[in-house]
Amino acid sequence: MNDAATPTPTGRPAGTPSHPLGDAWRTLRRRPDTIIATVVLLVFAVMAAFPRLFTTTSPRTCPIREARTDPQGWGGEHPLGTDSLGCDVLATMVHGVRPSLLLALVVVGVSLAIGVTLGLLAGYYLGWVDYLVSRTVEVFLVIPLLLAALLVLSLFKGIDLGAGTFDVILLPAVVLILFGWMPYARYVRASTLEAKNLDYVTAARSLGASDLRIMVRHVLPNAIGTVTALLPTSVAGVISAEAVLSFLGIGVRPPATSWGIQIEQGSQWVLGGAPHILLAPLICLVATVLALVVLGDALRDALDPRLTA
Amino acid sequence: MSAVTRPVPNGASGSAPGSAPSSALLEVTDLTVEFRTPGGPVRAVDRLSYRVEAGRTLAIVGESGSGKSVSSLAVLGLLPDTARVTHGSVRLAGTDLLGLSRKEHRARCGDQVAMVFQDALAALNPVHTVGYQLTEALRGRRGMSRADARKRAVELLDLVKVPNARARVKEYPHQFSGGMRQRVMIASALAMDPDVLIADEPTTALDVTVQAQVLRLLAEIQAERQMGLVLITHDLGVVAGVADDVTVMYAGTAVEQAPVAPVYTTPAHPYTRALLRSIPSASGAGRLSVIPGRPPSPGAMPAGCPFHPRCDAVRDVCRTDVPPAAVPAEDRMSACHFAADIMAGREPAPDDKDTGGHDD
Amino acid sequence: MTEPGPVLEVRDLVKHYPVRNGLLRRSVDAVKAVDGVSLRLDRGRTLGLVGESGSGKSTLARVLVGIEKPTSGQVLVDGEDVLHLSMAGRKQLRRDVQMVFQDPYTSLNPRMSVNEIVGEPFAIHGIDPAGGRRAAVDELLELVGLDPDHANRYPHQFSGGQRQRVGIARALALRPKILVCDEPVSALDVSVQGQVINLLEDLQAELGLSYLFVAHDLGVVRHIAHEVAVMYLGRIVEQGPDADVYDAAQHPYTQALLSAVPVPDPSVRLVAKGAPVIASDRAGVPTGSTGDVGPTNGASPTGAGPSRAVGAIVLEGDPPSPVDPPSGCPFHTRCWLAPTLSEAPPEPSAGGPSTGGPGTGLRLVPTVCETEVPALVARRAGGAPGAPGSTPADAAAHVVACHFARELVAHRVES
Repeated sequence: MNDAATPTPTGRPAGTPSHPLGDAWRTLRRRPDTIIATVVLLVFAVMAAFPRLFTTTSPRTCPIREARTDPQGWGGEHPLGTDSLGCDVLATMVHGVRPSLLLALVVVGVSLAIGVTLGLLAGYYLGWVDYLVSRTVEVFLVIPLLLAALLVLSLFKGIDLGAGTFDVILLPAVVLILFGWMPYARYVRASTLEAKNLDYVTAARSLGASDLRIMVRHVLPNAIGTVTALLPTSVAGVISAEAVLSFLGIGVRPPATSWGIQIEQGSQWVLGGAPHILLAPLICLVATVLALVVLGDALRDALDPRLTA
Repeated sequence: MSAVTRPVPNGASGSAPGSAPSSALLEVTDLTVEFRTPGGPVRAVDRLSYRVEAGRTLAIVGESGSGKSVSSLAVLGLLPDTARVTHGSVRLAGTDLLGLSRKEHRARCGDQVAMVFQDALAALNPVHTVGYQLTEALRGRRGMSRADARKRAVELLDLVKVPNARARVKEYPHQFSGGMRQRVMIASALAMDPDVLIADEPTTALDVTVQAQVLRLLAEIQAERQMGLVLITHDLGVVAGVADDVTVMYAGTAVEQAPVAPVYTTPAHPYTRALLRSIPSASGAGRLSVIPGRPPSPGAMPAGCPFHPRCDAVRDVCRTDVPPAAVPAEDRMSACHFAADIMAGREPAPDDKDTGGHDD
Repeated sequence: MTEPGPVLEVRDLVKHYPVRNGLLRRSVDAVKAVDGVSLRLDRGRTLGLVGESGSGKSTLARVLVGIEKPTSGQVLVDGEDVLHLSMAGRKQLRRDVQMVFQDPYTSLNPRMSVNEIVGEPFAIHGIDPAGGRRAAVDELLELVGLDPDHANRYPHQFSGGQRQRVGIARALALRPKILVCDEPVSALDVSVQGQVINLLEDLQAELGLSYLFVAHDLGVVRHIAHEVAVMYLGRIVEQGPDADVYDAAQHPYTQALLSAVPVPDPSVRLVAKGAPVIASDRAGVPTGSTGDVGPTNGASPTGAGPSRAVGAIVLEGDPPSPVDPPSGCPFHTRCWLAPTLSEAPPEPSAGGPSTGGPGTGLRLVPTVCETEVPALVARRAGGAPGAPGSTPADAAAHVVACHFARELVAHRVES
C-alpha cells in the first residue's frame, strides 16, 4: 500500500550508492569545456611553481637598446618580443604568474571568508549585528580606494617586509582585502535573509539545531551560490587593481613583477607600435578568468544534487 | 449597471463550418503534446478531445502531471519552447488555431479565450496599479483612451464585486487580499469579452470561505454572459458544485468524460471511482480508501492501460492492450476495457487463470 | 508512560508580533496572531485545529514546537511548563514535540541525502542509538513505508508523497510524544493524501502518539481528529468532539466554514441554474460535453440578482486584519447571523437588542456582539448556557464562543 516500491523517475537502480563528490567528477568529465579550463589552469599553476621550465631568460636582464623588439616566434631570442625597457616579455610574464595568481587567490579567499562570515551573521541575527555590519559595509564602500592605499602606504613606510613569495604581495593584499570583502557580505546577507525562512531551516530549528549548525549546514550551502558567480571576475579585478597600486609603490614589490604591472606598462604602447607588450599578459589574464568561470559553473552544477541525477 | 453584457452567444459564434456541430465555442480534437527531453520525446497529453459550449462549464479533473494544465497552455498557444503539439486540432469558432502562426494564434486567443491562473499574486505585476493592468490590453489593442480605460476598469472591478471599485483601481496588487486578487485576475480575463474562459485551479490557493465566493462569482458571470468555462481542478468537490460536464484525466489521457451527475453516481472508470472513494469526508471513520502507488511518470508509461498498476479491477487484458474509448451509455466515454461493468457497479469477470499480485 | 492527565496543555497562550515603525523602531502596534488560546491534548488522541489563513493556527503550531516564543501563557508537556525550564531541560523536552511540515518540497534540504535528513536529529542531539545511526535511519524509513535502500538518494528523486514520508521519519527520530502536523497533506495529490493520512493513523496506533493536526481541509480533519477546535483571528471560537462540532456546530463561523466546503455531490449546486443539471438531449458524440444551449437554458437569469445557493452560507469579504481586530466578538463584522438577530430577544443580561451604533455602517448587529468578547462556554442546544465554572480545559465538552450560540441551532432547524 505504499509508494516506496516503485522506482523514482530519475533514479538509478536501487541500491547504487551515489557519492556527491564522485558524481561531481563524473559530471565534470562529460563536459569538454571543463577539461580545457582545467588544462589552462594547470599550465599556469606549473608556470607559477617552475617558471624556468618556460623560459631561460631572466626578466631582469633588460638591455635598453633591445627595447620594443617585435615577437620573434619560438626559437628566437625573444619569442614574444621585449617591452619598453628591453626586458623579455615572455620572461616577465612567466615570472609574473606567481605573484599575480597568489595575490588574487589570497585576496579573494580572505575577502570571501570575511564577507561570508559577516554577511551570514548579519542576515541570520539581524538586529544590532546587522546594523553594525551594514553600516561598516557602507563606510568602506564610500572611502576611495586610493586614499586608503596612501594611508596604508604611510603606515608601512620604512618597514622592511623582506622579499619572500608572500612578502612581495603583502601590501597590495592588505589594501585589496580591506576594500574587497563588502560585495560578498552584501550578497551573502541578502541570500541568508531569503534562505533562513525556508521550511527546511525551520524544520532544523524545530529539531533543536544550534544556530551554528543551521547556518553552516542549511543556510550557507544555499546562500553561497550567488557569490560563487562573482569569484572569477573578482580575480581579474584584483590583478588589474594591483597594477594601479604599484604606481603608488604598494603593488607587488620590485624586483618581483606581475601581470598587472605588465598590462599597465603595455597599455601605453598599444598605439606606439608595440601592442604585443600588452597582448601577451592580457591574453593570459583573460584565459585565466574564462577558465575560472567555466570551472566555477561546472562545480556549482556538479555539487547541486538536483542537477546530477 | 455595467455595460459589459454581451449579445446572445449564438450570434457571435455560430459560424462554425464543416463537420463540427455549430454550438461548440471551442473544440479540441485528438490534442497530443510532447516535451523534448534528453531521454527522447515524452508525451504529456495524449489524444485529448473536448468541446466547450456557450453557457456551460467543463471541468477537467486530474492530479498534478495528468496533463490538464499543459493541454490548456496548448489551446492558448502558451506552451514552453520545449513542448510542441504533434497531433490534433484546436478549433475556436470554426478556425483551427494550430494551423495559424504562433503570433496569430496568440492574437485570436487574446480576443476570444482568456485564462485565469492559480497564483494571482505571481500573475499580476507588482509595480503597476490594478486599473492599469486591467486595461492594458484594451489600450494597447483597441486603442482606448486613458479616461475610457479608467472607466472600464471600474466597471470590470464592479463586475467581479470588488467593493469600492472606484478607489481600488488606483491600488497595487499587494494591497489586495488573496480572494480580491483572484477577482482582479478574473476581471482582467473578462476585459476583452472572451467567449471562453479557462480557469486553471482558480481557487486552490484560497480559503474555503473565499473559495466559495470566487466560485460563485465565476458561475454567475458565466451564466450571465453565456461564456464557455473550462475549470481545471483537482478537487472533485468543486467540480460537483459548478460543472456541467466532466473530463477526468490520468497520465495525459482522458479516462472518463460525462455530464457531471452520473460521474458521481455511476463512475464508469476505476480511476474516477477510486478518486471518489478516497475523499476523506465521504468515507467516514475507519481507514481511508486509497489508490496505491502513484501516477506514472510520462517518460515511463506502463504498457496497456496507463492506470492498470494502480487499478483495483485489473485484468490480463489491461496489462497488454490500451483500452479503446468505450461508450457505456449515451453521452459518456470511458477509456476502460470494462467500462460497462464498472458503471453498473459490477466487478469485471475474472481472468481464466489466477491473477496474482503482479504489480509492475 | 501511562500517567493520567493531558500530554499537552496550552493555557491562555498569546503570541503578538510587534509592528515596528519609524526611525527609532518603536513598537507601534502588534499583529495579534494568537490571542489567548487554551487547549488540551490527551495521550494517543488527535486534536484537529481548523481555520482560515491568518487565523493563527500555524503560529500556534510554531509556538508549540518551540520555533517561536510566546508573548505570554503556558505550554505544559506532561504537566511541565516548557517555558520555565532551563536551556537543557527545554532541549530535552523539545524532543517530545516534533513537527511535520506542509510542503514536502521545501521542508527537506535539497543538498542533503535522505540518510542525512533523517539522521540529523541524532546529530543535533548527539544521540547514538543502539546499533548505530545508520541502522536507526533504516528502521525509521521502514516504519514510514520507504525502502531503506533508497537512503542515499536526494529529496528530488522522490515523489511528493514519499518526501512527506521522509519528513515524518525525521520527526519520529527522537521518539516524540506529540506530533504537530501543519497541513501535512494539503500539498499532496488527492490520491496520495489518503496514503499519508493512513500512515499517520497507523503510527498513532503503533507508537501511541498524540497529534495536533492543523489543517484547512475540514474533510481530512474530520477523518483523523477526535476533537476539533475552530480558530478565528487568533481565538478559538468553537471546540468539542468532532461529531459534535461537525454535526451540531453552534458558532455561526463554524457553520459558514462547514457549508463552504465543496461537497462531492452534484445535486448541491453552488449557483442554481435555469437549466436542469442533467441535460443530455444530444446524441452520440462522446466528447464529454453534452447538451445544447437549449431555449430553456438560454433563458437562465441574466442581470437579475444571483439566486441564493442551495443550503450554502457564503461569508462576505475577507477576515479582518489581526493587527486591528474588531471589538467585541471578532467575527461580528462578517457574521451572517448577527444582522438577522436585531429584532430577536437578546440574552436577558444583554439589556435589550440594539440596532448597532452609528459607527457600524450598514451592518446592524446586537450591541453585545460589538462590545463584549464572548467567552468559550458550553451551551446545550435549546438549553441554558453551561455553568460559568466549566472551563475550556475540559476537553470533552463542546464549547463555543458566541453570545447567541443557543439560538443558532433553532435557526438552522428553521431554514
